[in-house]
Amino acid sequence: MSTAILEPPSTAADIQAVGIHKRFKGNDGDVVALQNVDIHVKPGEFLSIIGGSGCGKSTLLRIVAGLEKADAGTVAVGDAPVLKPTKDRGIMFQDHRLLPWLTVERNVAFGLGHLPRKEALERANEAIRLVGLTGFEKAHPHQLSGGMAQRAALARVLVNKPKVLLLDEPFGALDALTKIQMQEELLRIWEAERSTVILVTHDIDEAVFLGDRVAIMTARPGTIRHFVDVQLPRPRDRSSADFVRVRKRIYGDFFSVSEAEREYEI
Amino acid sequence: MPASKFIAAHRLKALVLPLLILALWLLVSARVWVNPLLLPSPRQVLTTSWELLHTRDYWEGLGISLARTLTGFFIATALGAVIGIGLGASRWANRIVGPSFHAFRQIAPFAWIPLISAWFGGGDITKVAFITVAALPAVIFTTIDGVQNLQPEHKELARSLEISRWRYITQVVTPSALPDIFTGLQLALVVAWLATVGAEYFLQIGPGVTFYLHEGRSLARMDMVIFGIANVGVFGFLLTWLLTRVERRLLRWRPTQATAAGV
Repeated sequence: MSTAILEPPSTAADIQAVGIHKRFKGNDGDVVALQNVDIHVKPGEFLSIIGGSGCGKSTLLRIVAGLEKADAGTVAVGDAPVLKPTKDRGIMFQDHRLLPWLTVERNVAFGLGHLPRKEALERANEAIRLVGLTGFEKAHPHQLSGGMAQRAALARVLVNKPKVLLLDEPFGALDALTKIQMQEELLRIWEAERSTVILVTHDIDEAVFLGDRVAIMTARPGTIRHFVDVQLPRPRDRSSADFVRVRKRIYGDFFSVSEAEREYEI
Repeated sequence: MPASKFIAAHRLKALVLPLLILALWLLVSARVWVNPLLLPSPRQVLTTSWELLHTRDYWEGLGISLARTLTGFFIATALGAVIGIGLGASRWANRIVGPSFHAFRQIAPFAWIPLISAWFGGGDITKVAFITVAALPAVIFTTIDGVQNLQPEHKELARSLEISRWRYITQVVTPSALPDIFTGLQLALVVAWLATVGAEYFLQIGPGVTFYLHEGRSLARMDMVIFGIANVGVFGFLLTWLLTRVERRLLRWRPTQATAAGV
């Protein structure tokens, strides 16, 4: 890798998920959502997980977050096993989940109930500045655009100084231009904070642009087929030949090569 | 400004029916189609009203009636919100207590009068207790609905941010249920006002705005009765209007509120 790798701060933790199994009860028998999934994310590393809908990628992320329990297997963040959701594993979803009755500022400060009010708001404002929402502290969520609401949701995660960021298709509902803008913002913040990130997406471009590695997941049963190392310097150029090459390789994992070639020969 | 003109025209339309009825009433009494003892003329009613409005008794009675209504309404609100949030938030409590409450709801409020008056006598406590009992179910059931309408995403958010149970109830569950709770409060306020009228009319007659209904009836003064009816209508309307203002203020965060409420 040609980029200098910053020394990860002591807060970043690694993520170890070993032998994860998960089934759901379906109408016609059990559905195996995850079968024997192992992932290891190094401290400060950015892992993208890509797969089609229903491949279990969100379930995997929810298990790492502690929102769901695996039927078998263990998850540990740093030295601590994951038993329930905690604030040092910040999770963000496709929907912003801001509380509509609170202002942006109070939404961001919502997880800081243990701090004195003044300090909580100061930290919230710092996070709001970090995501570029200054000036909207007193706005209510319905006054925000989709991209701004996701910025606020990101600030609400960052304000807790998480060791690990878990992002479940966070930009999936945004228009293409806002999405690119948000990806760049996320990179900027990640490069500054260097927390460990898992991003779940169905967007190949996004997975390659953001990830140090990309995990390719396939469905029924949900398994990780393999990992792709994205050895591209940052900042990455989406139109560079190397970027397209990695993209194409991942594309080939999901579709036959001839189809992939057809797309890129135009 | 076409928008304001439209609203003005819209509001004027609401006056069409009352004006028609007034015109009919004027016509009926001018031509003496109905015995004036049964239907006094608008002028007669206005004169009587004007006189009554200048008595101390009227304002005292009105104050007492409104105080009863609001006391019963606030007790019902507090009790109903606590019971409703408790039942809505705890599946266990709802399973145990819920069916009994649904049975309780079937009892017509007036059926409670003998029991309540046996317990509390004929005084003010009885009236307020009756108003509370009448207004309570509307608050409880809309609150339960509101709590159960809580989005699972918000529940999950509270989990992942490790929000304490108390903050979860006060800052997630309650505000989220507030629009539904207000639907119940609107209904409860109307019921409380009507229950006030009922309590004053059926329980020991004393000062209160319903005094004129009773008094007018026994003196065969229909002008007085109409004054009493008008009071019930006007203050019922005013109470509802006031609560709508409070609701709109508290639910400012809702994007649709301003456009949906109209008025």
